[in-house]
Amino acid sequence: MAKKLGFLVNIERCIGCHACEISCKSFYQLEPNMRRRRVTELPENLVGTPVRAFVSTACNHCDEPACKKACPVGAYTKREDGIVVHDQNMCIGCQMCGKACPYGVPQYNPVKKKMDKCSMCYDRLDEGQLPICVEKCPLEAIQIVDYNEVQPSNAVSVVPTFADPSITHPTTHFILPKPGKQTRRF
Amino acid sequence: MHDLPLVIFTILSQLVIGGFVTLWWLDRKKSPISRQSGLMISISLVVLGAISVIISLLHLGHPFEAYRAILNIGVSWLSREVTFYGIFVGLSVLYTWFWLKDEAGKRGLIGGIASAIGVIAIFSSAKIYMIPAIPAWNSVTTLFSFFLTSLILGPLFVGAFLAIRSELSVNISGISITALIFAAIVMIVYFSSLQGGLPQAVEAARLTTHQLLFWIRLFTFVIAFAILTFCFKNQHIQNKKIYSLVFVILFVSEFLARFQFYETAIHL
Repeated sequence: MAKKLGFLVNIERCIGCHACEISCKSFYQLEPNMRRRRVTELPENLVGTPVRAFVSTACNHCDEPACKKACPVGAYTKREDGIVVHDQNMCIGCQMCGKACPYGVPQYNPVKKKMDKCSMCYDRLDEGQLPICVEKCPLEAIQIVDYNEVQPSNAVSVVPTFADPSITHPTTHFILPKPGKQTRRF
Repeated sequence: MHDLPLVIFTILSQLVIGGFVTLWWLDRKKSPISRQSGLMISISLVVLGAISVIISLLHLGHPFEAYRAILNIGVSWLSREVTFYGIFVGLSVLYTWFWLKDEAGKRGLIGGIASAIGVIAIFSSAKIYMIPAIPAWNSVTTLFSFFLTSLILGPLFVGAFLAIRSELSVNISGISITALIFAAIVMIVYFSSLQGGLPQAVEAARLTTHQLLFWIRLFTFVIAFAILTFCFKNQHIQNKKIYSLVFVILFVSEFLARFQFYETAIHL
């Protein structure tokens, strides 16, 4: 059975240090305003009791990628293992993929005048290494999971600010923080 | 604004297709269009079509690699739009050739095929924007508004041209009034659906109506409607000045509407 690789982001562990975001940006030498991975703060009422929580998101390597359908040159392919790869050599910079993706993942590289997005470091994965964001996270808050093998029972497919997953069926899942105990003082 | 080339391209391409279908239809109806007028209208449509294609390339990062945009025709509406519009412009060149040669039979056949392909090109163009990622676009009103732009501008363009050459034998204002009434209904449905939609759609409606451009668009739309209605009731005053004026007013109106369509689109 083919793999279905996706990110599993543990929000409980994430402290919002941006190490994943910066290590990816540095590794791929991205232009100043570009990020393949972004860390954002979530609303504090995420799990009932107030918590300070962050979420790290990148390409969701969707089951039905809108970028792939929108691209007029066929620059997007979905590999056997589920990774959605963008071929910059094919790209003509029409930016339609960026419009079509509900998560706004593909970004325009103003220097190359082509689109750019997370590739889940597939070349590193093929060599048995971890994606750079997974490797550099000091809290081990990001994992790569084969969702055809494992279905983490505590994972959810949507968090606030995340677009409706029924549109493109993203593979990214999240582990929400545990609600804190509230102590009432009289 | 990054999308300005697309604003110009969509407006021009829809005008060209609408104008082409009108010319073909008038020619088929055996309306007395002289060879010279038909040729001139046909050439001007080909030139506008070519200009629209060149302008559309300006929004690409790599315009000289645009030829590759037809590769994903199996799934991408943008590929389909490029392909069908390209074929349409090619056939309109051939149609112009048959005006030059004054071969009515071949002109009618090629014109019919080109008209059908032009309609498919507008359909493909609208489908590009009907995407869930942008709620303000993801509606059938996008499809209607693209076709209505064609129906509003195309016949008026040909009508104004024929009026200038004193060859207008059909009352174009009736078609234009009908198109404007449909456009007004589509506008009402569009804003109602935005107001009842996702927060991004509501925000798009707020942004649109809070811009001065929206009110200028509405004002020009109403003025054009009033002039056309007056023309329709007083058929003896159909003249070149009125048709040219209404065409210019509605061109500005449609341009502003399309500009706002792109400018106020809020992503999920």
